[in-house]
Amino acid sequence: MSFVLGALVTGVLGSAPFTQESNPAYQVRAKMILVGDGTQIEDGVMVVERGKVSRIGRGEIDPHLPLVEHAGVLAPGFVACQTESGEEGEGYEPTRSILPEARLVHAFHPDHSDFAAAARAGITTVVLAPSGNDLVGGLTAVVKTAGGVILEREGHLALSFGGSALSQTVGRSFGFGTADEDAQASASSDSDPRGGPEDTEDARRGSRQPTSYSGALRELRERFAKPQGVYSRAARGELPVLLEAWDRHEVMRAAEFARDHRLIGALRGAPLAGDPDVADSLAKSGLGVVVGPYAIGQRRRSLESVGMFQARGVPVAFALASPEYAPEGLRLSAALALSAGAKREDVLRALTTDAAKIAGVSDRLGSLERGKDADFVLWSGDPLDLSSRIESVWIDGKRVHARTDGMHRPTREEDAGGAHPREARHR
Amino acid sequence: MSASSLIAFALWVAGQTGEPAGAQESLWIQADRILVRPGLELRNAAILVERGKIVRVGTDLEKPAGARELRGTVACAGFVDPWSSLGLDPAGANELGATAATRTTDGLNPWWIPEERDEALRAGVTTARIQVGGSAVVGGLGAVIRVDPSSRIGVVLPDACLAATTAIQRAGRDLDVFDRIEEADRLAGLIERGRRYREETVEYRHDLEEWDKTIAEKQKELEENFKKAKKNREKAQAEAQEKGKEFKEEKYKEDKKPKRPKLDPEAEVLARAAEGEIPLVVEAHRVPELRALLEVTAPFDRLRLLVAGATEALEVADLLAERSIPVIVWPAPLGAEASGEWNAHSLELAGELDRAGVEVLIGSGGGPHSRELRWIAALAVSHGLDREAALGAITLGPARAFDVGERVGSLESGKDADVLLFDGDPLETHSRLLQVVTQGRVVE
Repeated sequence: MSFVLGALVTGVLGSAPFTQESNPAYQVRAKMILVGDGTQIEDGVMVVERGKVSRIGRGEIDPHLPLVEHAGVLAPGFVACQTESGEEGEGYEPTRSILPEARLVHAFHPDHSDFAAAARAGITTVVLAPSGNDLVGGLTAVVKTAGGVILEREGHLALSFGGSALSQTVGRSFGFGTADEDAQASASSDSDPRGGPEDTEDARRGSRQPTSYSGALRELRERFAKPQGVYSRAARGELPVLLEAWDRHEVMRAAEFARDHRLIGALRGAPLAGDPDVADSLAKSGLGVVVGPYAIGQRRRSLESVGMFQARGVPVAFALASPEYAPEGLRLSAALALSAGAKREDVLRALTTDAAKIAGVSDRLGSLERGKDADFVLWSGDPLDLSSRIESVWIDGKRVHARTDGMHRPTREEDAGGAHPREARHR
Repeated sequence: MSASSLIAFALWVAGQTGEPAGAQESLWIQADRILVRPGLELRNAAILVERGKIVRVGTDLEKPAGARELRGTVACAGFVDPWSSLGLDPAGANELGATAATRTTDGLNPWWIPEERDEALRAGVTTARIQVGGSAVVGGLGAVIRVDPSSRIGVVLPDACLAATTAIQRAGRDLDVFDRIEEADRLAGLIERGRRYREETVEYRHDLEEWDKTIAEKQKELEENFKKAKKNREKAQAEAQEKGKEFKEEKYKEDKKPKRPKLDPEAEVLARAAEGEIPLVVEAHRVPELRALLEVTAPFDRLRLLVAGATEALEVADLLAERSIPVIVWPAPLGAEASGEWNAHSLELAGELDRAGVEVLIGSGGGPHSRELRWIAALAVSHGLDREAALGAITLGPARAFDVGERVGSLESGKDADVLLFDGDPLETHSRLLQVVTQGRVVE
């Protein structure tokens, strides 16, 4: 309760009026600042200048700068390492399975409501990735959830070792069903008179190659034997990979492939990788792991895998899987991992520093160090406590969301600085 | 359920919930904060537990000799999950052919997955309302069970409610808005059937009583006049013989015995819901069926309606508040691609309904995953639900709604000793649950 009452005093003080248009610099004082790198500052002050953190630490406030006073916790915006937000079907190609030329950045609609929803949940940066239903899904993009900012146009080369990337028989049920079940599913969709479009898609998928795990491996090895284009950049370690793999054998195969070809990047999926030998194998591969999202009723074993990876020094980040899951699922995933024995600092890093590392944007994001982007969230309490509330979300120093219900109403001054101008900064 | 089977069942239940081992031990539970019930908190207080019951709660108690001592920062009542299928056989939980007479207690599968029970218990869920046929048109009688650390399932109340759903999809087919409204209408028809059955039953009993009385009077009259009648009969017989005529027995005109209404076990349960003897829980999500449901149930003034799911309930919040209809929400993070029932789901719903004056209960959504109850209640807090209301929504609120408020849901004396001890606020998710006490037994 004290946090809620404390939030009441969040507001704008200081002599100078707080309008970002006239004065690009301001300071935020919070009861606690979580820097993101594992350190925290009590009664910390952060100065934001032109969208960047220009000073952070304990200490005096600058009387000449406008002040945002916050009685709760200031934390970096979360980085979600995999999402299909706003892709509108661009993340999956039903006719072909190998699409090294596909670029998710072309599917990025900055105004899509998925991004605003993510921002409201404290997620300020997301990795747009293909669905995982293509063997070579193309190039991911790393974008911010407000302002149309593209951080990476070629984030990762996405490869899928999952059953869903294979042909009709395995892929239809995403590799979890038996062939008989799939045959049944196929028969029922044939008899459904309204199943027309799906039938066509199935027919197309039926002719897709490869059709088996060994076929998929052959295709990939061929491409990495004399690598060209994006494959060559991945093989040289210039372009990280994002490897999708779910079942135990898929994870082992992906880790081995990455080791053999000295690929850098991360594995996506691995819900059952909570076995020590799988975790060891992953640790040896040097890959990071993108897990989740964990839902209500998630198997305990997959929750425990977070702590198991982190104990072996494997960087972990959480996936968002929006729009299938709500963006709050990211924080739920983190809280569940915490409850299953992961360390608090490690879980926080999985939402910030480690996630930024896996996303390949740690030069700009992941912690609130001097010179980094001022992407931050004002929380009523600890962000890993699920009952904490978001008071406001700021991207590139500009407030993009403020809590509107209940007690906190944004002041006029805050409103003046609230709108985020559309800007597309391409690297 | 017929009276005799109820009695038989009650005996069975008594057998199931008999004094558990270890509950003889006295407990002395101390905490910096004791959240006795919503609105009552004691500082630096203690709870005395004897024979599985809370004997006293207060700040001025003395520790009795020999009592086992437990200490924590915050104590609250064991959580009550109002929407679960914990301990149910999955086929029963998903039974689509259920009728009003289907009983949840028939589908109990004593902990076929022990981890589910252990995890739920370790997460503080000590009782749960479970429901057979959770997505059937009518799901049957729900039960309140105890998440018992032994292998048995303690049934607290075998007939805690009647459940029904209005779905967006049935058997893979989308239901359009008119289909859904029709489902609400059909439900009203069922309640009416129950009401009428009860009326007929009551009439029958009344008529039967009248008939019994008349017959008894007649019999008495006949007995009193027996000698005279016998003499008359003998005389008439002799006369007939004399005259060589056939003797005719005098016939008594008997009242027609009232006919018993045909036994209808479904209607019997529907009648109990119609009369408010058990609550009716209806899962409904969209505005059209919510409005239809509220409209068609309005004439049944004894009906105790609860709405579950209620994705768009905010649109009818004033009606819900006015008729004191509690809503069971499931504040899970669901995306726009969730099923039709849930894709407009908002985590803000719980807080908004609460502010609109609607009683909010929080359930784990009908699955076997009660262990996440505390997490989703915390999510509701982070999206605007008052912390105290959220705790009430997983303790006393559901206990009262399902008629077990006299036994569980708060830490008042006389109640079952279901106590949770935390090292911080129960709804702060990194508070650790130090001890779970159920019916006076410490879960080790």
